[in-house]
Amino acid sequence: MSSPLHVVRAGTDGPPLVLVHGSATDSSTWTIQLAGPLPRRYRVIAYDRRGAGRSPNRPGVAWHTIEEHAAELVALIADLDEPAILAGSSCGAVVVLEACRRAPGRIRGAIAIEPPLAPSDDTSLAPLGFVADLDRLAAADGPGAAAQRFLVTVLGEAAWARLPRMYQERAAASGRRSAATATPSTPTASATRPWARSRPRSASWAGIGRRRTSGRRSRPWPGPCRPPP
Amino acid sequence: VTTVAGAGHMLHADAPRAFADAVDALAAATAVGSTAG
Repeated sequence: MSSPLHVVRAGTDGPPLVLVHGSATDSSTWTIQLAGPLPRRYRVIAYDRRGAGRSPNRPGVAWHTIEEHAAELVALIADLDEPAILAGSSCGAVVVLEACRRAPGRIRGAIAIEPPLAPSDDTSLAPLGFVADLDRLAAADGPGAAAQRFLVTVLGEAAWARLPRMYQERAAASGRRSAATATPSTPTASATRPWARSRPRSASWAGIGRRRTSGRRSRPWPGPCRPPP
Repeated sequence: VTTVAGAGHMLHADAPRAFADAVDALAAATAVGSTAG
């Protein structure tokens, strides 16, 4: 039996808008949206995905797959009185897309901010050597250092530098927590490669409509869905 | 599905108005009776 997800709500009128955070963060990443004008027009719902913030992992489980995260998202929106608009950032965008595949009738539309997906199922998500570098860094300087390297790579140095110090420290702590909760039977290398085990099939989303709000192309590799342990 | 490409992982924090505009556009496009899309 899992603990309930930690859910934050703002606004009482309008269609439901569910915000799904990315890796190494929690629902607080949507603080601006929860405090801004959106709750005047939408019932804004943000939550801590399983294993993030105040939503603990299931007992004995070190990390959860995209499919598990999507199942919980679908359960969250199942009780709403109308289909929801979903918005996900980074790994949260992948969770949103998987939810779209599972429960299209419960979803009015979705916004996917840089979902870390390979162009095809045959393409590697991470550049050669990146994961090995993270493993070496984690072994040498600790999982927090590897978590920081991961985020600097994903966000870019400028965005990392702009993050409030508390967010930077939390990211490092998330790396330490992942390492502390990893099951002994989980090899370190595979734990840093969740996309190899739980990557949704991008080809399955070929039928989902796509509209870009920018003409620029996505970067070839936005990053994995989970910080390294 | 609206994919915000090349805008950066911090779009919602760096450009909250653009994010809100995307939500509004999606809501309008998916409103009952809408022919937008």
